Amino acid sequence: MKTLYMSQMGTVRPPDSLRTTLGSCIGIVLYDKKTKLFGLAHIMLPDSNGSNGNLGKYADTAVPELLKQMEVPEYRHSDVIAKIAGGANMFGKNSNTQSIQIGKQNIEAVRSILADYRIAIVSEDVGGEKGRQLVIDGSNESVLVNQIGDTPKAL
Amino acid sequence: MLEENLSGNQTHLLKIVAGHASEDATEMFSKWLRQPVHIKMDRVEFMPFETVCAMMETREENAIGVLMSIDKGIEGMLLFLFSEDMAFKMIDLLTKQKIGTTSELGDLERSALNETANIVGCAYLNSLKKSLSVECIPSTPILIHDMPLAIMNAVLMEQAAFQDESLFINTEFFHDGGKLDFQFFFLPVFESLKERLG
Repeated sequence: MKTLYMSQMGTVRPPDSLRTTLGSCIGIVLYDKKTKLFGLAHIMLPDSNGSNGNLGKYADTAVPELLKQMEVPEYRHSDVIAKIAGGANMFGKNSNTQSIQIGKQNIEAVRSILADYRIAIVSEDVGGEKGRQLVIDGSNESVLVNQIGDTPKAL
Repeated sequence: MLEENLSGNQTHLLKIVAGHASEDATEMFSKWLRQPVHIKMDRVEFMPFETVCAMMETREENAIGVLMSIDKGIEGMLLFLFSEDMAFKMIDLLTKQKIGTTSELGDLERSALNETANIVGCAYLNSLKKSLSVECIPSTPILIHDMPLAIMNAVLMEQAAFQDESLFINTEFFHDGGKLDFQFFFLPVFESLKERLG
């Protein structure tokens, strides 16, 4: 199964599968109901602040770039649904590391950007203190989330 | 590319300083464990985040990471990454129990791993202080029990606002003729290190 890492984006058509592992980053799954194509972006930060270098790194640049890669024109954005996961605070409540705030900011930014593109989030599994493995399982066209100590759950 | 921002002399100095720091940390680790520990490999490389993560992908089992952020001096992160088995073995060594006794992480076990990271990590930072004349003050250790890739993801996230690649300094340890499934990473914020390399 192909794996995407931080800041990477990709598309997959069933029966092929795709996965990524998330800490405080967010995995954005887009699904085009018309073409049956999945897209996945592993974003790290909420806002590019105008930087146009690494499009997959930021929520505000990854979403339009992924739609472009999926060849979804603006008039068909309503054919696309989203599922999101990640944004954990893996260092716990008492740490003063960046990821506490960034996880929250990433979640809010992704919700806001998807709303701007009129894409509905149909399911999400965000926050908490555990990492997640997000899997687009092309064998049955499902999206799964794995966390240590838990059984895989459908997103 | 960050590497292009360092001169040949700076890269050479960095490798020497990192090597000394690993030796000093290893000496302290040996004293702490009361067992001889040796370094096999010391890697000092510039890598895109995705390359660092791809290296973690080969580790399928759950892991225990103990990390310390450095907020003053050379900013960055120290990460100790243990396989579960190795962490339990180390706890048994430290608490003088028969190997195989520890099978879960309670408060005592967490404390033993945190203290190991604190002692070895501070030895590493003290060595950097001597070599580069910079005070590096770490946070208290934070223990994470999770997938190795998720742990590395969270650590690199701390650098994401500053850079797209990581200066990856990695030491592997050997004990009693075998490799310890335990790795030590120093991931400095590049700009804060560069100014100290002259």
